Amino acid sequence: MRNLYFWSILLLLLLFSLACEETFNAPNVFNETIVVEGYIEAYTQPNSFTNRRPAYVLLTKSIPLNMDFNPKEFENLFIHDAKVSINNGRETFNLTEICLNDLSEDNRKIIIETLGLNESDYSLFGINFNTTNFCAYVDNIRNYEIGATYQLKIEVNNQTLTANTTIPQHNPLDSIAFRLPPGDSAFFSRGSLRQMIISVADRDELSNNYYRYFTRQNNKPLYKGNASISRFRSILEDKYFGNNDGTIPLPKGEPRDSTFNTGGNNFGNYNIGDEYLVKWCTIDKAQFDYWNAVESNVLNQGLFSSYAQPPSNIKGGIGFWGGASVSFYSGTVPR
Amino acid sequence: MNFHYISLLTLCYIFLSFLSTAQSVYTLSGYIKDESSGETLIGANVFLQENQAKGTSSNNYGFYSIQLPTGEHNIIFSFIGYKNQILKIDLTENKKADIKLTPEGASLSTSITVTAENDNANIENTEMGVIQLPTKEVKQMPALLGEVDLLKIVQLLPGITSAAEGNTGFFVRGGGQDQNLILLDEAVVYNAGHVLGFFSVFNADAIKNTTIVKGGMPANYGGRLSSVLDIRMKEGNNQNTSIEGGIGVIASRFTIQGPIQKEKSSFIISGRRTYAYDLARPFLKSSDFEGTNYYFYDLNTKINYTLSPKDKIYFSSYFGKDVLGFTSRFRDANFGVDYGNLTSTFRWNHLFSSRLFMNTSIIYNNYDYAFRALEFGIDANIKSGIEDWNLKIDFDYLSTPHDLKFGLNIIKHKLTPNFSNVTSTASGMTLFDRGEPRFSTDYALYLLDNIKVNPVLSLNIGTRLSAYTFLGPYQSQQSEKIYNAGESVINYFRVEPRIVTRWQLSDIKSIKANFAINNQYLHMVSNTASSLPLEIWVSSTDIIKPQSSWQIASGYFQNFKENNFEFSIETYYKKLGNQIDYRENYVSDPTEDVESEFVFGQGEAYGIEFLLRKRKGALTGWVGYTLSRTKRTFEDINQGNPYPAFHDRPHDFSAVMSYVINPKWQISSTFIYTSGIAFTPIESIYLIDQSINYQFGQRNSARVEPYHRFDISAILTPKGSANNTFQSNWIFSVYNIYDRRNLLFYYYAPRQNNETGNTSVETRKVSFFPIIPSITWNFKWLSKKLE
Repeated sequence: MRNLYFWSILLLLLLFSLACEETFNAPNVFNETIVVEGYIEAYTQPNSFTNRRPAYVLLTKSIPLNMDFNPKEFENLFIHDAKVSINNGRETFNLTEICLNDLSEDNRKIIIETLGLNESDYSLFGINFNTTNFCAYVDNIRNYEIGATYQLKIEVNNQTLTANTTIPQHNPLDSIAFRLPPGDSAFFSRGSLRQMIISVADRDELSNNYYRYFTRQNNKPLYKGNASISRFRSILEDKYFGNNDGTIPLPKGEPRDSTFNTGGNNFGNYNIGDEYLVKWCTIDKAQFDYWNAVESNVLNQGLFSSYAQPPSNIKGGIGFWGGASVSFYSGTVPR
Repeated sequence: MNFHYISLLTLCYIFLSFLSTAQSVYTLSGYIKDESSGETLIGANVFLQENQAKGTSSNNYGFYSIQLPTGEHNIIFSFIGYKNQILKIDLTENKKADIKLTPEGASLSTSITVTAENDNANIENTEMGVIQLPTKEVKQMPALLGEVDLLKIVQLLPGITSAAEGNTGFFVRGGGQDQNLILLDEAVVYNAGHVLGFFSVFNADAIKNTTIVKGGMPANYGGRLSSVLDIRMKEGNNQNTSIEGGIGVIASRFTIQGPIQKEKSSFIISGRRTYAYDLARPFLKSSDFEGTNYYFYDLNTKINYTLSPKDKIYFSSYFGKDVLGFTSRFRDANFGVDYGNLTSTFRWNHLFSSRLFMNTSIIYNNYDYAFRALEFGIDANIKSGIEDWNLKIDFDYLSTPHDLKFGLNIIKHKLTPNFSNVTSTASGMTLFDRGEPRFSTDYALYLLDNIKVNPVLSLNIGTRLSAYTFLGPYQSQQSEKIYNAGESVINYFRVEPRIVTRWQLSDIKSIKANFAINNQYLHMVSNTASSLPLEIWVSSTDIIKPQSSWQIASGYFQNFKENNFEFSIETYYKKLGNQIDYRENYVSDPTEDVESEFVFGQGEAYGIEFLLRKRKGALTGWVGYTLSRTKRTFEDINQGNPYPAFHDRPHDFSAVMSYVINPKWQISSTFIYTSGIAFTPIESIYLIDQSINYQFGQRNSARVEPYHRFDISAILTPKGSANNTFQSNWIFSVYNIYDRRNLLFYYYAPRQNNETGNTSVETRKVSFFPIIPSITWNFKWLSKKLE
């Protein structure tokens, strides 16, 4: 269900093969805005330490439509010297601004790994984290609690931005299995490929659960998911599991520039013997709606496109401050 | 404004005026037909030679009735494209006279229109914003890929704009696409587009007449706010059998019609099918498109039977489908789209007397859309549609100076918005299966009188009483109350007064004004610019209130050069209530009920339209210009500030011309220039989740470049063909002759410059239709040579 729009456009382009495409000069109506991207995660498994991320906030600014992105401009996006704090209802603690350029080489690697940064996600911008600066406001001390509400407060350039998020109860995976991917073997060789099939633990007691997932294959980076059932988004919700013990395929995450067509047979599938890791996040409805709009805008282009304004929870800016309860699942893809 | 009070006054007025016009007069009545085919003619003029102000016109079934004093009269019957006929009659009692008019141009297309010297019905009648489009005229116009399309000709009229380049969707005087009532033999056509809207479902070979009402909708029409497009199918030649067709670049057509029992019964069967993909398939082998299939087809059928001089029955149907499929060569991926309309109309015409005409119609229509996709072990099936059963009884009581119409209409709707069934091929389990049909009933009663108060003043005054009941099974999202099947959830009742006044300044000049209130109970809410079949129709419910509008319009009409030219200026102001849109952060999800995704607001449209039309002679056509604005205000969109509607096009100019050079050659051209569509510009870009995201500015605050295009066509009718039993012609047309790259859609795409390594967001403009030449061969065979 990649979606109808995509296929329609392919077919129409074929029908009207004389169609042409050129640059269109859109009007410049620039209005700079502060962009917040903040994550706070609570972990359900004691052994998840190696994969845990601290609470952190990226503080950037928006730029004009016609501006070029390059590593230098990328570095200029970051807003420095902000006072960023989190209140959990009992105490307020400040986040520390950490910039890669201020760190030793060893610490630089640790932070890159801790924040889960990978260059392939930024390949479009030519980022090399050995040389390009990257800044985040980080709290690497505390553990966070499921069910708790965390208020984010940012004070910068005489502006105050606030946001609230609650880390929802976690609904873990119930099972992970693998199978031969469906399809016609006459068209592609499926023998060594496997498709991951999952089900969630609780589909009755906790209603309206929302999820986001990431996967890792061998030593590749952790990529966000491309669930076909949610039209190639990284988000899922309980309704996809139905009211029975339904399972669904969970395609593995892929690099940003990989598509269904360019990714080849491996797109979404594992190979026998691969080491896999699934990061499974339960998120709230507000966060689900936000990623739904963001990812929909990236996918939804063309004749019948329509853009959704992502419903930001940041007062005074745009972006999202989102909590998640997280579990990890790892293993080897069986024969 | 108390509309109930106005309506009561209307009814009193009509009643009292009848009391005051009881005189001893005789009635001349009958049907007006095409001599060569026996087809009834809609809107043919009937008037006295000695007093041209005294006249009437044939109704939608070709019936006329005129009341005249005792004595001798010369009565002229006229219709565009036909020779006038003068009937000399000594009226000493009620008489019947069926009139057969002879077409001016008997060939497939060529017509030099020479009509009555006093053809000034446009000045005298009480119609505003009403335009007739005979199919013959439509067929002369240049067409995209040679496919004659009356909806695209309609878009060239002032006050009407198209949804997108090459698209059949249209907007009338600031109204939405769903606010147009599109009727095919009285059956509602809910999706009039093939190929995702690039071609209309109306096969010109099967169409007799098209009437567009863009303002001042008479009370016999309802259920939509903006316009009526009333398309009537041919009845079938009841004189001779004929076969006609055409072979074009992407599709071919075939029509057979003829008498079943001469003068009493006839039939027509007309079909069309595309074959572009069938032809292209060998070339797609081993390409990414191997496994693709696409075609559409239409089938129009109609039979009629004259039971008695007073009774005639008709049965007509339309069936059309688009079928699109794709199976990947590489993956476990395939998908298919299948959508189409089915309409069936049974009509019974009965003459109670020479003055009282009745039409009863039973209509069934069904619009279905189905989408199936299988990928990654997820099998998704989505369906939507709407099915109606419609009973319509209409009376015409023709008693000069009154032309009274009254009737009733009951429609049972079954809507199936967003049925979705998703299964996992991994487990074989149904993951979700949702969608409940929605049921409702539409009721309407109407009364209208077209009255000539005196030689100067005429009125068309009427009221439509409409009611709508939304029925269970349903669970209210507001109260959470559960309604059982057939239980009434909510009732709406609306009074819709309509009035048109005409003040005749002279034989060739008049001023008209109108006021109309309309309500609409079914809605199609669009998230895109095109008439995509995924757009679903939804019912008014306890949450979704009926859309409403009121419109005032005025116009000046003048003919000159012996009625060769007609000129008009019309202004309008329209207010729209309970307009529906998706909330700003809406993400399309076919598995969700859309009702909770809607927001509601108001609309406003105003404009001035100029039309200069040459109706007769070797050169015919029109030039039209509209200056207008269309705005919307939604509390939940654009921070509550008014914004231009997507289809707001301040300037809209079109020129349509057809010239008969000689019996062999005819040329036609169309030129169109409109302001570009409004769109929401990007205010800034930013990074979230390692992706470039867009922050949008004020809704529709920017505009793409203007749209313009020039098309030409030439029709070659081989010598002698026009009078033979076998006729043919060639149509050579060039669409977009100066290769203007008009925008079909735009999108944003990050692009990396290979030299600098920099990435920037480009706005890309996609145009679909460059210069496109095409050729079509049309033929017609008649069992009997034309006189």
